[in-house]
Amino acid sequence: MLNRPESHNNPKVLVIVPAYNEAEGIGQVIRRLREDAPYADVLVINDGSSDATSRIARASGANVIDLTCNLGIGGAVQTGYRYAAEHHYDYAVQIDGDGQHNPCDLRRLLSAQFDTGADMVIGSRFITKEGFQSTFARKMGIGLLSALVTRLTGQNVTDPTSGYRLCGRRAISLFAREYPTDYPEVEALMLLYNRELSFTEIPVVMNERQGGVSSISAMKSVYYMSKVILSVLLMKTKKKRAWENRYES
Amino acid sequence: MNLNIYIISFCISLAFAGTILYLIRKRRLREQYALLWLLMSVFMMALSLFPSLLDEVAQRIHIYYAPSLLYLLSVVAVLFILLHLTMAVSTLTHRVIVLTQTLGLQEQRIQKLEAQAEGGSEGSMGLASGPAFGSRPEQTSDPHVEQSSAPHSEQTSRPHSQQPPEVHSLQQTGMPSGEFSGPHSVEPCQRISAAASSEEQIIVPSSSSTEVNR
Repeated sequence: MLNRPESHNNPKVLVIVPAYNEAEGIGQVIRRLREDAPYADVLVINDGSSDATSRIARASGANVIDLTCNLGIGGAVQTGYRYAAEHHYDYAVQIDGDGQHNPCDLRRLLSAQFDTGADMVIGSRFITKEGFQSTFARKMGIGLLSALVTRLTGQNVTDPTSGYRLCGRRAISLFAREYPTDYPEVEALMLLYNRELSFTEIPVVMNERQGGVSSISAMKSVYYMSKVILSVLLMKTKKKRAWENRYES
Repeated sequence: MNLNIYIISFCISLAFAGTILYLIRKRRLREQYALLWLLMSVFMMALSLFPSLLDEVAQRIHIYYAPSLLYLLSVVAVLFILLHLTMAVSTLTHRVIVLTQTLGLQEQRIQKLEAQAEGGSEGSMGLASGPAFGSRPEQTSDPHVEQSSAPHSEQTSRPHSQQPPEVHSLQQTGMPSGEFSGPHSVEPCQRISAAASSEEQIIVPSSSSTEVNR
């Protein structure tokens, strides 16, 4: 950001990679990002990992923010949005640290943003139904959530739990201010809806995770579903209020 | 006998109130949390001094066994205090999250500034002059940074350069890109790169597309 010319022809793109004990895969994710998206700055949020995630990410050439305690995915991602807001990035892209998302799709997320002007673009794995499609039980849950979100927002949402998303400036400033803490993806959509920001989906192909474990284990899935449904329904009861683009760090 | 138990319970509630006041005075208990406790002890004292109050109220709302009203009230009071505590914990959690984020952001900024200072002094003194003065605090503070050699520190000092020098060496030593994500991703990536030729100018959008985005 120091030796980067400030111009509209060259938008500043930040890739936010939340990582919790992802030492196995993080190096390759960063390397792939720097090959496929050399125009983007990579920021790894090390969410209090107990393994070598931070060191490997640094050695792979990413910017790393180390969080002292484990905040969970929401808190980690919000750190990235705060960074993006403070450093005046035009776009912030969330990518999981486990290799699920293909960095080469980033270009398509960007072009979808240019085309539609949406505040957030989500990479959905269920539009073309290609690549890794998740397990049956999980797909059921996602189906339920997408039906719920589609109903509540009046906009077709196929993959509300996708963590592959690109945000424009308005969404960055909103998320820097308020962002749900745990299991944030679905709630973030409702947050956008409540603040009258727009979002759209494009098809992407996802992989099976490379290493580490998903933040949602079998035991937690019941808690996950009830928590997400409750918070989504409660979000709907909140009054719609347009977001003014403002962020004081 | 009857009188006895009331005196005892009055003493207990008096001691309770005294303890709370003492804790507030010693600043072991914040006033905002203590108010509810104080209210409860005043209520306890009132009931133990005038036990007929309980009987009267119970009769008025058709509770035939007066002590059960006492249990009900005490359970409700405990519930409220628990709710109050959960609210306090939620507030604290939110504060911890914001603070941890801020700490992380500040730490990263400090590291960047230190790397810049190091890079600057290296530039003026030359690489041959050994570790510069500016690099010393970094070596003592962060073992990870210490491990990284000169090209690394140069890289961290300019993290946003478009084409970092390291990428080439990684491409040479690292694995071919197809190996990373298995058979799944190779196909879509190729498909996309074929489609991307028409999207080549996306990264250099015209001013009209930035207008759309406002």
